[in-house]
Amino acid sequence: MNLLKKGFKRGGVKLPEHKETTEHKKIINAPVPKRVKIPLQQHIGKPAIPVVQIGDEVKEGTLIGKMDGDFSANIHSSIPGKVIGIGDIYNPNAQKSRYIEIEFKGNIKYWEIKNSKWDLFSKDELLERIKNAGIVGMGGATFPAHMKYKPPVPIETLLINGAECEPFLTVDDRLMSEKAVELREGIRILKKILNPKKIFIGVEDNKIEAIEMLEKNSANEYEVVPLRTRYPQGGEKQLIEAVLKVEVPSGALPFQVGVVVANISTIYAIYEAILFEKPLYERLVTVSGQIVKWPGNYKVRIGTLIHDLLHDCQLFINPAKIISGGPMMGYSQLTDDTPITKGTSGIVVFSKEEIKFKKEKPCIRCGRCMQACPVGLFPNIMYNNISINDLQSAEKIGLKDCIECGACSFICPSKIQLVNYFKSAKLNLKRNISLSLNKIPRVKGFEYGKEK
Amino acid sequence: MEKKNKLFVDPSPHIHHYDSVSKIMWIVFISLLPAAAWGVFYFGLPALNVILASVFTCLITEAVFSVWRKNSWKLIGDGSAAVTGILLAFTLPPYVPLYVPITGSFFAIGIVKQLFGGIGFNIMNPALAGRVFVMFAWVGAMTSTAFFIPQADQSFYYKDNEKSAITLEAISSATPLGMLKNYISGKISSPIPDYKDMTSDDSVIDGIPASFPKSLFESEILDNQDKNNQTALLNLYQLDSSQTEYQLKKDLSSNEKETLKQILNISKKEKSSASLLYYKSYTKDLFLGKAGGSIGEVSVLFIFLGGLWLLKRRYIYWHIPAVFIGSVAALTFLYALSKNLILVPEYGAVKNAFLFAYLHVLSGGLILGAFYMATDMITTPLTLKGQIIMSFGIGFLTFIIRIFGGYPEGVMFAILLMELLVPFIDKMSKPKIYGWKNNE
Repeated sequence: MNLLKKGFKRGGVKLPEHKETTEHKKIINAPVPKRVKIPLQQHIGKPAIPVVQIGDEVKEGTLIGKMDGDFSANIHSSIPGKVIGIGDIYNPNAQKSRYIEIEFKGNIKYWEIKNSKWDLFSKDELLERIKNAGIVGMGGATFPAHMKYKPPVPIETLLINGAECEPFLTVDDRLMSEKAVELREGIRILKKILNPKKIFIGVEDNKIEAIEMLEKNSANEYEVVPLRTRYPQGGEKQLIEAVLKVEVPSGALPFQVGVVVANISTIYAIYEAILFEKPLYERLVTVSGQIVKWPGNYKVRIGTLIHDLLHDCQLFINPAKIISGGPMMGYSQLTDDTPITKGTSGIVVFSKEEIKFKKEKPCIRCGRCMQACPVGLFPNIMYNNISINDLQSAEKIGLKDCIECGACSFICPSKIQLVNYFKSAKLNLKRNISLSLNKIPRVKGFEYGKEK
Repeated sequence: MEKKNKLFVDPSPHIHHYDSVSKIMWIVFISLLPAAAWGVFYFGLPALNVILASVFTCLITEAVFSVWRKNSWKLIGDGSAAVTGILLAFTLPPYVPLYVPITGSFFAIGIVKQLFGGIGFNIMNPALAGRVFVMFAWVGAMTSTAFFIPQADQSFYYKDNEKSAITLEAISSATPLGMLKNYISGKISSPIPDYKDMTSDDSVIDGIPASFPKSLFESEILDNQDKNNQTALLNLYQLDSSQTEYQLKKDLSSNEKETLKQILNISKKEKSSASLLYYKSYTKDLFLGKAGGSIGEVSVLFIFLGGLWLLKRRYIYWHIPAVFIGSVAALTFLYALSKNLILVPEYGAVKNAFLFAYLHVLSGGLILGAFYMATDMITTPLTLKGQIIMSFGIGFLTFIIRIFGGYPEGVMFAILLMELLVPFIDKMSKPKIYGWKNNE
């Protein structure tokens, strides 16, 4: 029966899901933090330009960072209060960015539906509103939404990504289960913008409640496609392959095969932006891990520090590792002073006992990485090429097509951090410099923050 | 500022599969232990000595070479050397002198594995390469003990070489595969062992064989006539000390000798049923591990069970043993059909061919090769397609060598030959990359 279900063709791994702790926890608002640090670079593209100064009073949703050109996104204040500082900070994905620090003062705003008749808006007006609300792709890639939903060619299919294949994360699952009606409205907005012929929602079959609710509330707007649970089903190209049986050519973008992929959280943000005129200043975050006392799915204001969020969720013991995002592609944090951004879908905390660091051993050519690769690459041969600093050979056998899902590193019995080497090699190829493997940050696992 | 607690930072992914190299290797090792235990139980302590000598030499060589190559000696803990050691011992006859496993292990680990760069870099299976090395380095010791009489006196084989020269030749030519080969080529007239040839001259007393193998007496009884004959024979022969042969009783009266000759003449007339009896018991023995051969090759059952465990844990893929065994079975079956080979006159052509294929699959270490040698991760192609190509190649070469080649035994050479082709097969069997056209 399982074999009959749709899924992507190549590779993939079966992961321990760990979703049971949060998959039935209803979405609740996280407490409003006393202060937030809002990075100006939360998206792909140019950072936003600050439009407030220290001492300025701001409200919820006040524009504080204006987009710099089209390939950028607006940034809004997430709490009412006073700007108390501007400085530099590291994003959760280790990107350096300026931030605006706001101290809480005043009252929380209650948002009401303003545009229940959004149908009257034109396509361009809708896009303009999405642009003003600062919406980016919230699956993790943080591509500015107004760019993504303005493809140069008419598209055939709108594909909605409800796969959520990362372990621990359950925010999309909860959104689909609780807000199916709102999501349908959001999908209708996107339908008006993109005018696709078909709309599909791809959901992994471990989200039974979500599939049920979506099907119940579909009103024939879209078709729900249950998918075989397998990582990385939520990868854009893998989802297209799984649902539509189409391959996106190497180096091309999905719209070139007539598909636009949208994330569930993004659709919900679009719904709020159009109907409530509410800019994107808060998002859903799963907080999970064995040492979290109250794991759950929280509505968190952008700029909330991980430290504050974890304090609110109560930890049993001090964390030894904090991961922003899922454990497969997320980033482990240097410090818990990092803010939540638009692309943070989860915070996963590990205790010291749960971290199993193992030394790299020589490759034994077991071929598991090759069988796990959803793209059909030879990870171990690419690794061999990279280790003798032959990046060109690695490129020839498909290094640039690596989607960095981490399935190869996960499955490797020699514990070789394959995907880490591929990321570094890709960066080096991009910068056109050749570094020997010694200079690529090798996985040693260092401890940070001894004294501060 | 308050003191921050330490955070651990490393690249994604942050979760890993529970399998590690050492875990895989030790589980492979453990899965071989039942077969080793059967080998020791069946052949006695000499087999244990061979296994221990082989495993310990492998471990010591690995440690010495690791230190020499500026690694820690603790690398032996990953278990790969131990697996090589036990596999090498499995391919050796149980009564070889101990310098054979020792030199073989040294060659396997030192030359074939470590000089090529240690684990992961060897181009051939070290155990098989070591086996080939000892096969040519110690021709005498290897061939003279190739086929055995279980629990026989060890000194019989290599202390008194001159005396046993003829005997040993006779014994070694009686390996089941060799016998089949000779039968096909017309060198011998009967497809069952001729026990007169097996025993030396003084063992035939007045034209009566001095001994019979046990299996002949324990085989299925056909009819009353046979049953009577068997009972009569059992009165005149007695089980010897090794529990495997029936020896002629010492002082027989002339009357009894006459009876015996009469019975044996009868059974000679019914030579066909003797052949049937032989194969009926032999096929059973072959599977249960009572048929003889090298240490690990006797117990097809335990090797098979160990292999199934590895399959279940996904350390090996079912394609390799399935295609390998399947191709050998199919090719030998078709060959026997085309040659119209008759092993048991009572059977039809198809059944005879089936018997022929069965004998080929279950003897000569083919099952050991299929589950443990051909599936060695390091020397198999990476892709499924490549693995199927390789295992079919092994099956085909095994068939060619066994039937047309100079050796009765072909698995080892076939695997080594195909392993050398692995980089080529890998190149040939590249999977299609997502979104690429013709992989260019």
